[in-house]
Amino acid sequence: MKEKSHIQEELEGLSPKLAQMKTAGIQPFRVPEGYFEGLPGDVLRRIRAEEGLAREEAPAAQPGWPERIRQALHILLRPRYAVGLASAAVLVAVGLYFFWPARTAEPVQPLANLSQEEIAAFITTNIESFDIDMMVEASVISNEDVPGVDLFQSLDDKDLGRYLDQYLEDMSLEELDELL
Amino acid sequence: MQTPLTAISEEQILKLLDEPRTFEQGFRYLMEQYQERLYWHVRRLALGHEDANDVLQNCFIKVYRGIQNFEGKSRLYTWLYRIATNEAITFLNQKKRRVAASLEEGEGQLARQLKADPYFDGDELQRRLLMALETLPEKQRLVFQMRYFDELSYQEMSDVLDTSVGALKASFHHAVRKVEAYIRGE
Repeated sequence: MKEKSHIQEELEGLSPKLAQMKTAGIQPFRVPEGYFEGLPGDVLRRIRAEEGLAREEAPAAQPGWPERIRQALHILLRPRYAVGLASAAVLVAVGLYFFWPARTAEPVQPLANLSQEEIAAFITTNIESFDIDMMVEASVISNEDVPGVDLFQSLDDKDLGRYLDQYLEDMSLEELDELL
Repeated sequence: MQTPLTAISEEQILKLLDEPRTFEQGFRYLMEQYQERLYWHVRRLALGHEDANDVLQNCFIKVYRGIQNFEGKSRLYTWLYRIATNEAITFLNQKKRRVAASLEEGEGQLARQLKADPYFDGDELQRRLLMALETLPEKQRLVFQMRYFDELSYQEMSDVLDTSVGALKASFHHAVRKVEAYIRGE
């Protein structure tokens, strides 16, 4: 009320015409009948409608990956999809079998197909890689071939004598001259 | 002037709005308490009833969704008044762009609008007053309306517009002289 009189005084000082119009206080505007009684309900209805719309438009919460896998499997294992999926798997397997690139490694040849010379050349080249015990067992080497390894350690004198006799008998004269 | 069936204070409304269980009841009281004052403020800016109704409904929807942002630093009415003012300014700017796009002359358009409005009963002098307001810069128009029609103190206007009291006084005085000159046909 105090402010109203302040404003009136202020206006009279600035513009008597406007002060006079204000005093008359005629409201030029009207509102439709019952407007203010209905407005709160209208606003609340609009809010509910907008919230309902927002809920409908909001995407459902995304399930976690285990649930997504389960859902995908559930769909894929339906009969109409499962038949198609199985057919596709068969086609892929057949395709892989026929079109997979051939291996580039050298095929392993059976030993029987190798000549004696090829075997000898292979042994000479790779002799250092061979297991000594295995070669002794297979009688492919002697004490001379592998220095430091005493092949005769397990032989008694009698066996040793027999072995030397046999060895000397098998030697040619030239070989014997060389030894002497 | 309509008032709520039960007289209720600002504090009581805020208390109701603070509880989810009573929120809607509190919001209904808030609208009933302040709707008329806010409506007339908006109506004088928007002029047409339908436009004012849209602006006010948008304002209340914003209040409904943002009441938790009210920190109690000003009166609840001042806060509501600021939201309504901003909503009305947004509407006026959109309307200005529409009018500019249609190449329609501002005063002529307003005169036709008032003549066609079934909820405007003003005489020629009042029509001229509204047309004079239309010629003012936005801020001056707001200041004039807040002081002349809504009878706000300069301090309340300062809270709403974030402008110093001195600047508001100068702006109001300037606006009054311009409006009077328009009405006198100068």
